[in-house]
Amino acid sequence: MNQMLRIKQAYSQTPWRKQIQGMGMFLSVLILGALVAIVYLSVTSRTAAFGRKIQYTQHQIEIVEREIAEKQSSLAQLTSASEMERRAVEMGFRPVGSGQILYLVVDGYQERQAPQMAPDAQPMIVNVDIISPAFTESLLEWIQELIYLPPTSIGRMEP
Amino acid sequence: MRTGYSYRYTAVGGLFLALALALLFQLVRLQVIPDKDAFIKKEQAFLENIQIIEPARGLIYDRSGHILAANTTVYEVGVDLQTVQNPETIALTASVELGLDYYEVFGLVSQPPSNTARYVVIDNFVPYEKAMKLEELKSAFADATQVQRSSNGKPHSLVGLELRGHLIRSYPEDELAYNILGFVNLEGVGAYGVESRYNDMLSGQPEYVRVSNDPSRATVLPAIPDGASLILTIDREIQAMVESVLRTAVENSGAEAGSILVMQPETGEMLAMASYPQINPNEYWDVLDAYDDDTFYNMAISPYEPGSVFKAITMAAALDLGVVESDTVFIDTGYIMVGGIPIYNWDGGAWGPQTMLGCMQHSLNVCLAHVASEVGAADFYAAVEKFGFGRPTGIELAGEYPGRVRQPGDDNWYMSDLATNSFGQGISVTPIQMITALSALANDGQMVVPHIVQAVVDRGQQYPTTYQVAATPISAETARTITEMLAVSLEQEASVALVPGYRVAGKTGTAEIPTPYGYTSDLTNASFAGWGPVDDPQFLVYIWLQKPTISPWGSVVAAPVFKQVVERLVVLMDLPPDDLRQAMAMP
Repeated sequence: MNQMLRIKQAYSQTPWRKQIQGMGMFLSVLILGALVAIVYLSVTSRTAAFGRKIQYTQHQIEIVEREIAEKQSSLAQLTSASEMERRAVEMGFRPVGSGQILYLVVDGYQERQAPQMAPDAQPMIVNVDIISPAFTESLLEWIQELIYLPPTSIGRMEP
Repeated sequence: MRTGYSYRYTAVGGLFLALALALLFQLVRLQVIPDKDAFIKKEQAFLENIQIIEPARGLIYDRSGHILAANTTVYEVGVDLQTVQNPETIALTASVELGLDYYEVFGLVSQPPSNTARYVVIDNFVPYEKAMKLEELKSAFADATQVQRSSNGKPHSLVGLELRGHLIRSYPEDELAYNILGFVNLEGVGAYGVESRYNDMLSGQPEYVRVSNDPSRATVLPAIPDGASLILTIDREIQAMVESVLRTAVENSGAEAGSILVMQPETGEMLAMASYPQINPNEYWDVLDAYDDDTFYNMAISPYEPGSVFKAITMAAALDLGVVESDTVFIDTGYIMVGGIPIYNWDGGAWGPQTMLGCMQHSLNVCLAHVASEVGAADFYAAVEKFGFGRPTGIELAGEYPGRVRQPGDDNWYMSDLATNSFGQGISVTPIQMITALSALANDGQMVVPHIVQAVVDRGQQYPTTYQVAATPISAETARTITEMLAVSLEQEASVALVPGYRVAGKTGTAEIPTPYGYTSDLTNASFAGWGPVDDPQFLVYIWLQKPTISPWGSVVAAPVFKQVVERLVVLMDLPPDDLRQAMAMP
């Protein structure tokens, strides 16, 4: 019995070693937890920072859009019919009468065209042949096509 | 373990177990209680809010791309009660810069924040310039190193004052084309004109999105396409000219109201549509004071009795049916009995033998009543219907009146109505109906649908409109015959409507105005309809002056207005005089 106890004692670790191991384990878990927390906090803070940037950018976009609308409105006011007439009169222009105009034939002259604010809407063309038949036909269909292909077509396939 | 401590461990363990069970029970309970939806909503309200993304309202352009309706930024001025530092400064600033009542604002801003009041609006629709001034003041207070103290001892501060911008409609041309455009009210809904007719397209589709309050969950808001824009057929320069002429004509003639329309008879495009009295759509609240029972927001689509301009329609129908020809002679005895009612001429006189040309030239009621009787009620009203009277023309404007034509079979139709209708009395039409019907005379018998929208621009694509032929009420030959008759009648009469250098066809109109007691008023509706150049009509002009006081006659008050309009119109349309144009057209 004593023999067994002695052998057990010989192979057992000292209490301080056990404590160090325990503390090591605890610290490992703690460090791992801290690392996870740090990574989580880092990612979360960066996400929040980018989120704030998105919110700020969207706010800026709204401001810019409003400024564009404001400038567009101001420009329209500055070039309004009454304003342009007033400026023309100030500059010494006066309305022309129909008898005061000299008409000339100018080859290639184009009349005022309707304003084009955007491209004309095109009819939607559905292309049913987007995928090459090579990707859709079966081996059997391919062989059949080779067999029944007219001679001229085979000739065209040659280099 | 000593037994003395074991009960304590058991007690602590039991306590923790009880707490865990209680938590578990509460978790399960929250999933099944009837108020669970309310809890979820409260949680969501805390985490996120619903934001409405309003697309910018589409713009409206004239045919050359000038902006007629734009958007401008205005601001809502509010105060965040949770962050406000000095209510006195905010009240003082609002009083000085916005003209608000100091004590009212001070009372609003001084209240403590609560669940129901955390943010208060002190003003709205503040113009851009004033809002920028407030922003400058706010920045100045924030940046100042030394700030004076107010009477409450606190340093002056505008912290808590917030400005939130939003777009509203603006009309840079002010009154110009107000009747075509309409306006947009404070709720953002279009009223009258194209603003009302195309409200859904112009306003776009607002979208409700959930926006997280947590910045780490911020997402890019969806890009909402702006509302569709409209390109009108209206020419801004022609519209401005016509409005100016109309304003002067109404003032000079002492009329109450009026309208002038200019159309391209071949396509039905409206180049101008003026109406008087005008309002400024930027101050649309004046609309209630500007109009009464007799005047309308847009006189061009409102009903009236046209008078003798309608004789052109009656004569065209009779010529087309082969009932008369231009040289058919009628002996005018000064009156005719139709349905037991005597019909007299405008001057009460008898004009003797007259060809149809003479009947039109002298605008003889008796002759036209005779012609209508010869045509017969069935064919006459069938022709009137073919010309589109009694129903809206379909022009893209809100509030178009259909007019009213009483027909045989109606309770209140009498045989005498056939005679009076033949010269434009007892029949209710709109100027847009008249100009549409007359387009058949100016366009080889083809009556076009009047339109005012040239194209719609939506999501980066432009959708042009095309002109449509509404009907062919008369043949091309009849159209050319009646046009020639009306051109010759103006020339023989040496009408004041004649325009040097340009051959025009036209007809005057003077109509008595019905009252609840019959035709008892001395006031009239004076009209003139004309088109030209006769060999290739490029314009069709319709003039209506309501209740002129200097003279009741269309030939006196409306015909000169036609001349004024056409003299300037040919310049703006680049139309050379007839001889020059014909010489240039030769190879």
